[in-house]
Amino acid sequence: MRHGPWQRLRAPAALAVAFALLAAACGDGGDDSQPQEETPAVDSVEPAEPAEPAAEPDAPQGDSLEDAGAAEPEDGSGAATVEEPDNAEQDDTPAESAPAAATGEPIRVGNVSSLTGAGLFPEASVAAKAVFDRINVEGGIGGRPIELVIEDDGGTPEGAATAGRRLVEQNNVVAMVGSASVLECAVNSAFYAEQGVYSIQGTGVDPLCFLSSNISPVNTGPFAGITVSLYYASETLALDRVCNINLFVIPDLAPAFDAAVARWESITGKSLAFRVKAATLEDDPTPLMLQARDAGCQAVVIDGVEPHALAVGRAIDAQNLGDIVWIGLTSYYTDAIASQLGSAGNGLRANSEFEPYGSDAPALDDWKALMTSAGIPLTSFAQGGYLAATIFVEALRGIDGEITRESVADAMLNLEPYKTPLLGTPYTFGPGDAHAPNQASKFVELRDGQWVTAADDWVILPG
Amino acid sequence: MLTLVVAGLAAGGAYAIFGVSIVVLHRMAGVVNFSQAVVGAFGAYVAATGVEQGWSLLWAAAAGIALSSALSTAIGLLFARLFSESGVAVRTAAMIATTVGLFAAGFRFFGDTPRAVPVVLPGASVSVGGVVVTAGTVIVLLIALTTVLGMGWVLSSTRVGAQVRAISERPVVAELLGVPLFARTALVWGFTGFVSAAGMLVVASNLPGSFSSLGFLVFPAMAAALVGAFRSLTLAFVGGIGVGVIESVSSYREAWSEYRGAVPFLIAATVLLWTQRHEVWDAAR
Repeated sequence: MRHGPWQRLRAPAALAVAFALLAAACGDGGDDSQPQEETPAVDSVEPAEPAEPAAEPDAPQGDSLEDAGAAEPEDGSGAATVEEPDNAEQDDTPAESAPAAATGEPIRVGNVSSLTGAGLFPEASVAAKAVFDRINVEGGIGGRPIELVIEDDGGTPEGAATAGRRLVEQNNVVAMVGSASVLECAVNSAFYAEQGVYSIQGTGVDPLCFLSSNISPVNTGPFAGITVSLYYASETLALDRVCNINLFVIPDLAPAFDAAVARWESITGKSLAFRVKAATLEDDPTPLMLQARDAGCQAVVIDGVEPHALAVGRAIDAQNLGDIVWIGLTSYYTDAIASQLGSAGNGLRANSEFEPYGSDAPALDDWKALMTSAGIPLTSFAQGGYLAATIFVEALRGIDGEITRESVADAMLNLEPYKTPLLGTPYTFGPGDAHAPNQASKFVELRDGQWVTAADDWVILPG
Repeated sequence: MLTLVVAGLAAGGAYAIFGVSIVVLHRMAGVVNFSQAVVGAFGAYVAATGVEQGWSLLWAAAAGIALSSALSTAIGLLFARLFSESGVAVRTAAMIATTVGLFAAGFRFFGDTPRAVPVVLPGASVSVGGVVVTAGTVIVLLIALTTVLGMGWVLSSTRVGAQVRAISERPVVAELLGVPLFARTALVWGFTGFVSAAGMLVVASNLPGSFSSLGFLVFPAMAAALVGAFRSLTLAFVGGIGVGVIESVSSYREAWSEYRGAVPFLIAATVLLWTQRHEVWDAAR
């Protein structure tokens, strides 16, 4: 009562404080709601552009500029690049000084990746683009350059739906190549099937990536990843008491994880000694891991994303659980995890969906050289994008006549199994209702802050 | 089973710290501080960011804890200035607004991707009869115990405590009698921010949690405060430890494990039913 003016000001003041904070938070939350997390995306998208001047002596200026523009995830590329004949004409002038480079009408290819939002996959799309840029410099496909139009899905279903429709309907892409997202398949697979668009997914995560007639990912994915990791524990390591801890508890994914375990059971005729699920994504994994120890587990296959890997590694160290073989998913296999865990993570293993990116196998030489020259970090995701683009180029080269969405679809349906030392099983597409060609993994182990290949042999799921 | 009880002590200690802080602030300022955990989460994430930037562990932790203390003090002064005479509804609404604002600001700064909170004392642990007790657990329990004993002693037996209690009972009279309202408010809020950040820093390093999920640790803390009926520091401490241990033990069976997230709410509902058991319809309504 005594503070009359203050009393009248209270409610507005409270509102003002709340709105000021909210406005500060949401004002430009759309594009940089995650300034910290975006850093890797920016890091890896930007170096791809400086890399182009490096290729300039051979490259037509117009092409690389146009490609760089198309690679901007938010440039509304639909409108910008629809006038393609004009662009092609502009390209002609500088191209004369570099006769080898591709100058024809661009072959437009789409890519939907999570470049902002919760789970980031920035490397696959730029890696695919680096492959195409090199092809373009060398003359493209029958003189036509490949133009990769990258759209950001923001990690949201709406974003993925908009991105897919914009690419297919406005940009008239002939195919999707090297997409990397947690939910793009689930959102767009039916649309692609309806439109006759085929996708060589760089990093497929959700179950529909592996259950669609029009999508065939190059990576193993989390579900075959669980099966192959269990198989590695029970068959390769020949351990009797194999267990599973499910930390990545997203209701939609639970049936697929259950099916992955069931598949291991039917392949091996064995059953898990122990299995437990976390209640929420944010749970402390320690109690679950202690139960696995008390259940007498010799090997535990444990899923989750990067922060889970850290929590798991720390719990192994703090609780002295090093006697058990802990096998994480490929999401554990990052340099950030290795450096943050250091020697505390000794013994933690993970499956590598491709030839382990850190190994010095000669099969990786071309990939490493290309990524390094394009300034792209050497990660598993970059391998996925590189492979998807390489396979796509191979398919394009097999096309006689005009390259259209239809002829590309034909090429996908008639694709010969593609063999490469980067994959444990040949990559296939074809007419089936579901494609999951990568059924193999190598396993890596953390030793003193470095991931090293645990065994040189591929672990390949039978059947 | 014993290992699970011990594994739950670290989280329980953190809940106890938040719960006791909430009770203290409720007694002093008459406001339920929903932002107790999110203030601590700011400290933990600032420390994590500092370490990512290459600061040394101690400096990053100190910066995080200092920021949380300052943030908490600022909230306390704001409430003392604007809402000391408002009704409970206004204060609660203002606190909810502040909490939502802090969550939004945290999302703006740190995003929703979980990040690694540094381990303050890496690798230190003692094994007692096959049960591993980590250094983090010991530290967080010590902070919680110090908070509950120290705060209890200060409030009941010192001049500062008497002043704080005076402020909580009759703020205007206390101010007229010369009690330094703002200094005492800043002291208590700053202290709760300090211990919350310290506790959060320890538990967050074990959790694969995003900023918002750390902020939502206020729910188990609320259950703990409710066990203390928002008056008793000791019971709030016991409640916090209890919630942490029950959450951990409930992972023992898969059938229970799926309901771990509901533990704080179950405890809160049970406490409410128990405390209201003698109420007749009219009074309990």
